[in-house]
Amino acid sequence: MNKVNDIGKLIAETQIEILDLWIKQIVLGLKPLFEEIAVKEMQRHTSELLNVFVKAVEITTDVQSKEFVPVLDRITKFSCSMTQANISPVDTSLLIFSLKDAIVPILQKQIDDSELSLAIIIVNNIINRLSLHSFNVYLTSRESISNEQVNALLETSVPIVKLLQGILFVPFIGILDSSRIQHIKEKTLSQIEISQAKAVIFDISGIETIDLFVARQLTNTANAVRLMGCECIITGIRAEISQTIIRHGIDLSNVVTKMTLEEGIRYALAKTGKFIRSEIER
Amino acid sequence: MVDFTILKLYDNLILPLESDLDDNSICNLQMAILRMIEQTSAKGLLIDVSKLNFIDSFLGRILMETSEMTLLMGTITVLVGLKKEVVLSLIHLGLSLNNINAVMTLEQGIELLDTMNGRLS
Repeated sequence: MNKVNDIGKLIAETQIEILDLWIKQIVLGLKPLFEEIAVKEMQRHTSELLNVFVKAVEITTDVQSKEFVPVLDRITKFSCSMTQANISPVDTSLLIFSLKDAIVPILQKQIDDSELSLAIIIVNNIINRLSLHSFNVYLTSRESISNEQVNALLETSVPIVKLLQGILFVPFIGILDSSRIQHIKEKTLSQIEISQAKAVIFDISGIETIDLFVARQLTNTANAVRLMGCECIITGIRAEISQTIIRHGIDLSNVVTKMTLEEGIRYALAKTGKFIRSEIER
Repeated sequence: MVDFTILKLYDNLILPLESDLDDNSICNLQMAILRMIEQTSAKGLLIDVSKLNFIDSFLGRILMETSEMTLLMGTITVLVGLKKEVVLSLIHLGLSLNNINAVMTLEQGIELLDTMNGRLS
């Protein structure tokens, strides 16, 4: 019979047996997984994982030590490929948890009864951490994806159109929040600088409602535009938005506001000394 | 909800106010006006208050507020036919009437809107 200190050695000696048991556990307990992923593929993953795990556990049982770095790396890869195969993070975690069920029967056979519970606790701790790590990998990968998407949205959601010479047109679409309006502000100002525009039309007819903070930011933007020597025209203010602006006492008196984009364009043209004329003289 | 008659005359809206307005319908009034402007994108709004013998502070404030809101939506609001008692009581209530356009008759109101819109656009 073995002592607790020999867990690592013991696991290394019975590696093949453990792998067999583990794969059996997976096949029994996590059957639906195999609709998504081939058994061979699964065997490859598990044996590779077990290899690095055995190497680490032979030296230490402390997951935070540097010996476990290759194990964690391996789990990162494993978790990523599981995610790509459309397998839920819960199933991935369960798969790693099932390693416990493979190791514990071996421990029961080989370790002194007096030290068995301690040994099980140690194995439990290690595998829990590994499993949590796989979940963590999933979360961080999701987070980075959603961050990328937010950035992509910010980049694409602010078209600044050069309508005619000296007139810029900025349509606002979707939900206005403070980070977006900040982005719009900066982009508009730099565009004014480049194109030497004399008038900017903000069309907010695509916005249903705004909150107080965004309303303030909007007037802020309008004032900034004016300081660049550019007339600011806001078109398409809806009933709810005009109520928000007036009820909160926000002063928009130095900004020209029009109901329709057409009126806004006409005004901007007049400001830049142009007008629209029909081809056929009436 | 009380339905308000809002008439459309070319580019202008005309809203005759009746004398029996309770606070609830006054609240609806503002939204009805703004919605109508949204739909028609009118240039001017004439509110006929000649039937009203008294404007309380609430209605007074709503009218001021609404006129500012409509201006944001590109519509100039003109009050038509304010009675002298009403004017005196509004002044007495201490409402700032600086931004309010007021005329005596509808004709004057339409003329005023024409000149203002002509100047602005």
